[in-house]
Amino acid sequence: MSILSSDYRTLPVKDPDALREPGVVELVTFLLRFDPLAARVVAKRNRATLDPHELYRRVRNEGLERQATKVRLQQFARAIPLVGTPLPSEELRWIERNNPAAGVSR
Amino acid sequence: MTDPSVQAAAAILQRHGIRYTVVGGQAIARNAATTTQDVDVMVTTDDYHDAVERLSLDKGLTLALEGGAVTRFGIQSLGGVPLDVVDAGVFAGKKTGAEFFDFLLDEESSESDGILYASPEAVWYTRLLTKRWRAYAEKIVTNVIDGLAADHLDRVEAIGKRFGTDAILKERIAYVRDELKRPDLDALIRRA
Repeated sequence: MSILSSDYRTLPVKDPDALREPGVVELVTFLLRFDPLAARVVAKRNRATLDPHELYRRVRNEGLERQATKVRLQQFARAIPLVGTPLPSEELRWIERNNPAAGVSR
Repeated sequence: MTDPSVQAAAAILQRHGIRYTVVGGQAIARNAATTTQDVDVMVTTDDYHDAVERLSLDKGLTLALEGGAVTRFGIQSLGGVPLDVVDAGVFAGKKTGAEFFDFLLDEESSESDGILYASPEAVWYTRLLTKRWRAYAEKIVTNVIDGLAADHLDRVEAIGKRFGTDAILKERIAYVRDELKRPDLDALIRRA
C-alpha cells in the first residue's frame, strides 16, 4: 500500500537513512537508478566534494554496483566492486563533453 | 510549448529556407523528460553541404565544429547553445540520404508550432546506428523509465529492415532489450 500519491516520480530507496540529509553522494546514487550517465556527470563535476567512502557505502546499500560499474564510478570510489561491463571510456568522455553545465538562471 | 533553443534554431533554418526535422534529445523531449539544451536537426544529403555553407555565413551562428556528417554551430543569442546539423545519408543504409530524409519527414515526423520533430522511434534508430550506441542505449533505458513504451524498439527494427541496417541493429537492439530486463525497472517506470 502506498502512503502518498504524486504525479512526480517516486524512487524506491533501500536505506531510508539516505533520505535524512541527502547531498551529492545521495544524488549520484539515486541517479544511478534511472540515469546513470547523469550520475557520472554529476559525480565528475562535484569530484572535489564527493566522499569516496560515503559513495561506496551508498552504492553498496542500494545494490547499485552494476549501474556504478557501467559508468565507471570506481574512478571516484575505488572500493566499489566491479559488476558487469563498463561502458567504453571514450563514450563516457563524449557524454561529459556534450553535457556542459547549463548554469543557474536567476 | 516550444523550447527556446528549438525556436531560435528554427528561425535561423527557416531564414535560409533549409528543410529539416528536429532529431535527438529535443525530439525525445516531446515525449519524455530530458535535460537536453542543444538542438540536433537532420537535413537531406543533397542539401547538407549547401545548408552548412549558408549557415556558416549567418551572423547569429558561430561555427564550432566541422567534420564529416555533423557540423556544430553555436547559437549566439543563447550563449552558444549547440545546433548540430546532421546529414541524413549516414542513416540511410542501402538507400540514399534523400530517401531516408523523405521517409523521416513523411512517415516519422510530426509538427508542433510549425516545427517538425522526428518520432522517438526514428531518434532511437539514429542513435543506435552511431558508433557511441552503448551510451545511447543507456539513454533509451532512461527514456523508457520516463514513460516511452519499450515496444518502440519493434519499430526501430522495422526501420532497420527497410533501410538494410538491420544486421547492424540486431545486436544493439538485443543489448537494449537485455538492459530493460533489470529487475528494479518495473517499479521505476513512470506510468501515464
